[in-house]
Amino acid sequence: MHKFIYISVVFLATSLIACKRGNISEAGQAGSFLFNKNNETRLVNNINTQLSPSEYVQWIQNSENGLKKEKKIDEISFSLQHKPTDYVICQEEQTNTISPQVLKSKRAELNDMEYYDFKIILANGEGELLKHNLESNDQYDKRVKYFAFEMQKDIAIVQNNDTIPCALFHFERAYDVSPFSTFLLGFAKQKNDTKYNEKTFIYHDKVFKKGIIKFTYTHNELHNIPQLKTL
Amino acid sequence: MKNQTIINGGIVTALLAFAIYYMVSKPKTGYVVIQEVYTNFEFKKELERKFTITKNARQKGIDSLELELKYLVNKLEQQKTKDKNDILIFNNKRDEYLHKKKISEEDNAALSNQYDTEILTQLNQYVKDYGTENNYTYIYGNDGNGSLMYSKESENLTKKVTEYINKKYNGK
Repeated sequence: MHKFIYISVVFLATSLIACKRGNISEAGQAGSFLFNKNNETRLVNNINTQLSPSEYVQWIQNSENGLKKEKKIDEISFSLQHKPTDYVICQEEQTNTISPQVLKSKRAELNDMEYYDFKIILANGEGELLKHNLESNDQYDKRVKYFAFEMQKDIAIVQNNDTIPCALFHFERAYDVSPFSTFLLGFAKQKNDTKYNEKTFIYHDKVFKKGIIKFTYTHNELHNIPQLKTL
Repeated sequence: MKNQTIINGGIVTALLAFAIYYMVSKPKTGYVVIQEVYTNFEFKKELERKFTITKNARQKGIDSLELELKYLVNKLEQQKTKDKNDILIFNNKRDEYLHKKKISEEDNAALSNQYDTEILTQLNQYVKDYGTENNYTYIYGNDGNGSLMYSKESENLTKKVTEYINKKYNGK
């Protein structure tokens, strides 16, 4: 019986210590396997997986796979979706059966750029982003003008110490009350596009005064992507 | 013997209950040395560099006006009878110099305020995120003004929080 009590007490003490240190252990384990958000040590090889267009689109849009990133600062969220060429093709074709010929010709057409969707969102999901914390009507017009024509120069990608300017920019204007704004972006692909460790997207937010917004993609995140299944 | 077993079982249950209560009820707390976190925040360092570049560029314009003004002063001092036209040029240049200097100082102050707001907004958000992700009830800020007089060193989260906020800022 004494043995039982002794074991119970030791068990309790161990549990207490383990629980108190739980966060450290959890973080350490999480960093080394599948659920690591940074994907630095991801062990899954996705390259050999083949997905149909609809599955492929879902995979790309799933933030757990690292191509969609989001950051909330106060009442504003910023979200960036990297769009591989095949994803753009899926969106353009709008079908679940893409022939190898179409895929090949579309790839040739789109392959010299890399594409992103950047969103600025009111985190509570209510109201109109462009009118958020508006001080005057004049300010509204300035915001529209900035988003449509001037914002492009405040966006860049840094890769191997090179700053790549935003070459394609389109502000998707929502004329109704919308808590977000979407910007379609394109950057010219570099000559040695596969030789980098990280790519960092940079935007300096001057409209809502949240400062420099960065999203970093690792090489693994951008290349460990399933293949698109064709007919 | 049976009574003894019941007593022992009771003790173990009580200990277990206490352990669960202890884990659930004790708020998790920590503190950060605000100045250290702020100084080592990469966003702050970047904006500081940007601010210095802008400020220096503005100062160059002011300096060249000041130089022109000094030249005009010398020219006027050397004249026994002051040329009215030179006086007019000097007055205009002086007004321009004072006006541009004032504007430059105001712009620098506004930019500095804007950058401070941006830095503090992101810093506060990331510390909040750190607290939420790591289940902290309170994270205190030690800013050396006596608001936090003492805490165990083991509660010092400065290094961890600094690493975390820099990682967050870089979007990793």
